Amino acid sequence: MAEAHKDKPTDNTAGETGASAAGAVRPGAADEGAASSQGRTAASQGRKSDQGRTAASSLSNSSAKEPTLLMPEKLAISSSPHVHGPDSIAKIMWTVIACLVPAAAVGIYRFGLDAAVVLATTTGSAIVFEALFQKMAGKEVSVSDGSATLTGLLLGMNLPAGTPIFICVVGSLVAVGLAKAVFGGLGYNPFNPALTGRVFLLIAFPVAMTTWRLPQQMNAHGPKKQYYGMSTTWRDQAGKRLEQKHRNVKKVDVVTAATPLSALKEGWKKGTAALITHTDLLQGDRPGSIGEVSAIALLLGGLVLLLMGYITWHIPVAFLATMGVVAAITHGINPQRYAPPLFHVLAGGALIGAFFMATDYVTSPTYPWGKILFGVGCGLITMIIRLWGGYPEGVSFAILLMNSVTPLIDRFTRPRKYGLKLWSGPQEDAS
Amino acid sequence: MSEIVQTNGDEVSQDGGTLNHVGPKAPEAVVQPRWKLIVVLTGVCLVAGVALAGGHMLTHDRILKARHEFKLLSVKKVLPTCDNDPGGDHVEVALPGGGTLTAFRCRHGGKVAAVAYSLDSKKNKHSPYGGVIEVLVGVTRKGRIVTRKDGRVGVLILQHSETPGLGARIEGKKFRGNFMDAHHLGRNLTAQDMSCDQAGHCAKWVVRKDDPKGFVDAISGATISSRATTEVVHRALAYFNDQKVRQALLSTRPTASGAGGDARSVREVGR
Amino acid sequence: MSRARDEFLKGFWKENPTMVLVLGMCPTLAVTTSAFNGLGMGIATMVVLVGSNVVVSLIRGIIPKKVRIPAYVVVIATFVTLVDMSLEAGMYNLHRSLGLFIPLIVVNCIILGRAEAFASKNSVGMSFLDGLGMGLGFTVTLFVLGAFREILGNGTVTAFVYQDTIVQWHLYSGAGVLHKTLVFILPPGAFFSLGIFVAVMNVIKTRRKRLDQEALDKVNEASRTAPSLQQPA
Repeated sequence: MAEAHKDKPTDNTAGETGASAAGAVRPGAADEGAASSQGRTAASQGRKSDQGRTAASSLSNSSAKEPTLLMPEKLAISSSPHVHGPDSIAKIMWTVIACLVPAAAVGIYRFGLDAAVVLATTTGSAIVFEALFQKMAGKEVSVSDGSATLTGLLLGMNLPAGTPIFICVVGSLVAVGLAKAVFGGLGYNPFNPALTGRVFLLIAFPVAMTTWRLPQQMNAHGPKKQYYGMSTTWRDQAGKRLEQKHRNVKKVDVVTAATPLSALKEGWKKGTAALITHTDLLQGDRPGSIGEVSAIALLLGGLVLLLMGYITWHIPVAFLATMGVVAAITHGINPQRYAPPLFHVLAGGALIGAFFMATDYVTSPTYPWGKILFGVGCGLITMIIRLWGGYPEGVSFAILLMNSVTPLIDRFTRPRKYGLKLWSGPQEDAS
Repeated sequence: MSEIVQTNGDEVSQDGGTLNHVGPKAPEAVVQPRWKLIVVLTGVCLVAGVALAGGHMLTHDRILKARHEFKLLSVKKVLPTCDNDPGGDHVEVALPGGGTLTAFRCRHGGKVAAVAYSLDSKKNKHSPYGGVIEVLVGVTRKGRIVTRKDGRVGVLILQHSETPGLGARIEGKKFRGNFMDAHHLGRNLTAQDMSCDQAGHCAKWVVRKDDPKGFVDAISGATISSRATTEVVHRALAYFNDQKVRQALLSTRPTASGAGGDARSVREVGR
Repeated sequence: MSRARDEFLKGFWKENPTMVLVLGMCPTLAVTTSAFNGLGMGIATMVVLVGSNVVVSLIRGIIPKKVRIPAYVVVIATFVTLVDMSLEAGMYNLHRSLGLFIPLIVVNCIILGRAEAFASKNSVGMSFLDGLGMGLGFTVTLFVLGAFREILGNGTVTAFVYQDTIVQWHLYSGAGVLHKTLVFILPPGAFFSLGIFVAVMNVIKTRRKRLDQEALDKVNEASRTAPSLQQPA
């Protein structure tokens, strides 16, 4: 545990001594989930709350003078110093990775070797880049904590199967280098690294990033052909597209198709609602990114994280509920044009986004109400992009946009201190 | 350099190495009479005006010529070799839906062999990804898109605001090649592929992604841009299919606004 | 003479308008989608800069302080309009692709900045050199930035376009292992590229400073030890 905090700001360790000296902060005091007693949250919180004071010193000072102020048992949340919980960065990271494995496995089962290559490339290159950048910055190389592994895995799970290796590597470079290392490494990044990498790739390589493979188990000539707008292209071994006339010469078939959401964008055709069943969405029998196809596997992983207390319910529930409400309203007004709520929640990257990416400790708000606000914002932006935007899917943009307002949300949802006026404003607690 | 009396503020004159630290409230600060400000500024503006007038006189004709040449270059690109100068031979045609069309004519021995005119996507059903797509088409007197001897197709994108590298590929030869020999009713494919229905629809004016009978191969990743361009070209050909418009386009009467066609009228067409 | 050389050279590295002074961001970010566009914009700006610097320096004695900014703006706007007109007459293609950004040179901070900070206080010759150096520095930066973005985003380097004459190198097709990273010729790519350039420049500067410091230390060390060696003698 302690070794995981070595490159964090000093107020962590300072805080620990301060807290134990004052004896005022109980281990359970910071009980908005086990999360806030973890190094990462403490670190990001320390970073966010360092406006004008060093938490450790001011706290121990005030507690020396007026210990009663800090005593109330009901004081659920406090700023740092915190007593360290039993969890370390590495433990959390590897648990999250383990929770992602089912969804990744389904992706590999659906899309075959190509998916495995993408996942391996992004994960491997993310680890290499992380080590490289830490070395360049003169920091200790800490890739064994799993944070780079998680970033790489999440990035790979957000890409379509068959993404060229070059593009995967560029994605890792952007995710680890541009989104994390230049801001100072883990705990300092304002935006979710994996999503930053994904959005960069989407804008940089729009064709490759929207060429979706058909799951191996799906019949390219079956009744769903019309709905997904499948098209078979024949490529020679160099990857060049062949005309239909020459397609018998040493060809490689590639069946591409639209995702449910892009099919939706192209036009919700009559009768298609019956064709695309919720079972398909749950099992992942549909085109899409590697990690997003199976709703069941994602729900399973998310549930484990929730039960273990590594994430709280606020963000996922607020995120998905908002999407459902918006979809229900629009579907109720015009069922011919807008898809039903369950379709919106299950299709696309909503689940992986809500459980695994919006809940990233570093880039999401700290306090419960802030988390709910964050989730509602994500859901709203996602639905606005899906229903009226230029892109068929908006989860990544939504989360990144809400990431950018996280410091503001934190500022305005910080719980009031005992004895202070309600809505006393954020400047009050600088006293 | 003592003429720098204007440094009455907190400025430090670096000129000549004399550093005059004059405080903002210094009593000896020189206050300029108001008339001097007016005179100096008027003078500066006058000189600037004269310079601009001179520049305008020097460049005006060349600018008009450059614009004309640019337009001509485009027109020539979509028309076959002609006996006349198509840039100077144009006709205004009233459209059935209101508005007019300016067409440049390419003649073979006095007869109009092909015309070129432009149309934009403002009245499209399928709008482009961003802004407006303006397409210049060359149409033979039989109502087909021109195919030049050098293999170029008579479709040219004059302006667009599509994404570079993606939607912007509608400018490319490959996409425009879709419209080779295209007719209002569709495109003639090779003999064995032909499957015209009773109405004469050989292939549909839609991208193949929307309808397997469509003959336009959409640019992958830029279906919206492809669709919008296809519709503009189709609308342009549909105009030609209108009996009245076609007669007017193919009439042999000379250019209405003076023979030879001066640069000005060409520029108006090009906007 | 060494001062003249300094005034000329400072625009290239030490006081590079885009990378160090971070001025003129609008054209830097907007038009550098190709090397040729960057070059054209840079040269157009340089012509305006040299012209306005010389004229502002010439009239610096007769302009009352209160109206100096309007007077400078009139001078700059005149030059910009002249450049705009001659570009349209001579290089119609370039004029089309630079579009609105030519008139916007008027509000380019580099030009008013040099007029106010340099030309209004220095002799005509120095102002000319300052304008030329700054303008060339700006041009080189824009050209390199444009080439960088074009290579990454489109796989080409466009050196020259006039009517149908296009001098362009295709470096890679994008169909093989290397793919064209389209984002670099889109607006976000401008920010990424500029960020990378500034970062690289800072790295070089820091390293140079450190090396200089080390060299200085060595000299100091040597001079400190040298007398002590001499003393016994």
